[in-house]
Amino acid sequence: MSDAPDTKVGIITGAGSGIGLACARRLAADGHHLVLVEYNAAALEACLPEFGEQAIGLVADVRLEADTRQMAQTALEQFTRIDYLIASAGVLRPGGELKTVAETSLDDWRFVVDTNLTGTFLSNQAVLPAMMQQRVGDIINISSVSGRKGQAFDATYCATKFGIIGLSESLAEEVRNFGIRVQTILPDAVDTPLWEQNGPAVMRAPVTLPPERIADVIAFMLNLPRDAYLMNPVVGTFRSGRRRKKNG
Amino acid sequence: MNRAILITGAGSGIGRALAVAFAGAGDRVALIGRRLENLEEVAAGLPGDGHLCLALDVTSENDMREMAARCQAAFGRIDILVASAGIGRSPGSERRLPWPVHELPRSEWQAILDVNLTGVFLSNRAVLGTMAAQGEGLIINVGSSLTPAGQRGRAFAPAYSASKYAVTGFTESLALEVGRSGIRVMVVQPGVIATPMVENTALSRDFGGSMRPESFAESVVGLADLPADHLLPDPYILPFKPTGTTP
Repeated sequence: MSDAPDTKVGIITGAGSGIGLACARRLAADGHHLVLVEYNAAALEACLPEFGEQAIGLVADVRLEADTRQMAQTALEQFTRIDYLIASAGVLRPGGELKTVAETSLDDWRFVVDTNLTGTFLSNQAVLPAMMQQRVGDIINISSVSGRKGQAFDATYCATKFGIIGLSESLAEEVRNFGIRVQTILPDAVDTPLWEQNGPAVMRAPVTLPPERIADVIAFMLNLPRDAYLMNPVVGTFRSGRRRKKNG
Repeated sequence: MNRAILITGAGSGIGRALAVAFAGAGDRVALIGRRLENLEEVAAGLPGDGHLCLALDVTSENDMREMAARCQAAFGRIDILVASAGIGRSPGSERRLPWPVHELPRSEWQAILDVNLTGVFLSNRAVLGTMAAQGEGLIINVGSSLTPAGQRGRAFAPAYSASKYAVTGFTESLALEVGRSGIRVMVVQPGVIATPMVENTALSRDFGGSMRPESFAESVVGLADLPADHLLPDPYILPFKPTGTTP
């Protein structure tokens, strides 16, 4: 099993809402020490008190190298090690309006690519020196079922989620000899504020997963025996016909 | 958790490790396999009681009907079927080298497909009635990841590769068919595991080693424990920083 001490230290980006916040709650319940990284200062301020002494917050932008370095440094200064990183900072689109590729501005493209893909690269890169020195660590990156199949109006998002799989598989090969396990999860539609970026009343999936379910699976992936890992697991919704009827 | 678990191929390898892991989680296990003495040996080492040994063949329609009926009678329900019976060569085969396609005898092809694919069909079909009546159930079929990059064809393993791809296709179809009855169906795709079937093979060298059967089994139990409102339809469970057979 892992040689890490009982109290694990984790960094979670995008911790102010959605999957990131659900992970923070799930792993705080396991007694872990957390660095919660969030771009939106108000969101971080709103959730931070519930974690008490267990977590410290850091307002940071994963698109900026200086910020992701600060993120790793904060964890090391406060808790002396980094057992895992959950890179869950992500956006769907700016502006709350669906756009085709033909209508997508370069600025909009860059906003999504910089946050989702470059943000995953920079946050991963930032924790590597500490993990390589420890010779153990876990990185969980968040792709999507949109990382396997493209769909109309989501070209930029899909490109980043495909890219996260490529980045993660390459990194996994590079660092496995250091005991660093890099895994990528591919959730189906999750009930998070990300959907609000589609604008009012359009394109919301009919069945969504609560973010707590993704957090459960991520906790499971972190706790796998050290000689096993999950390769790009898809997490889908399951609702039987019977239950659907019961729920009206 | 006191669930009723059916495991095919429970006499050795992956199936044996799965039986130990589920029994360790507090479940009652029905061990299904061809040789009773192997099953009884595994059962003797299981924690808890109320386990069942059934010497039955997954390639026999009657045997699989009997499996479901006897488990239903003994446990009163069937919560989980793990279809892990699988072979890499026909039982009793003396041949050491793998067969190339142009020499592969029809009988060898048939034997592998019978166990790996038809055995999955027959064992799955046998439990559907009970699970549908319960309004819930979980079927975990054991596929295979023949390369570190996932399910791919592999030279000199044509029947095995074909059978495991087919298990994935079968599983996806069944999952769509019976989801409305509350039955979840998934296929787990293990990378190389330290079992007699793959020890000292090229497969083991490709992966740079193997994971312990206990680690694979613990991972499957973890997947089975996740809440029933979601599903990982086809997770790959692969060896990480392989440790071979040493824990």
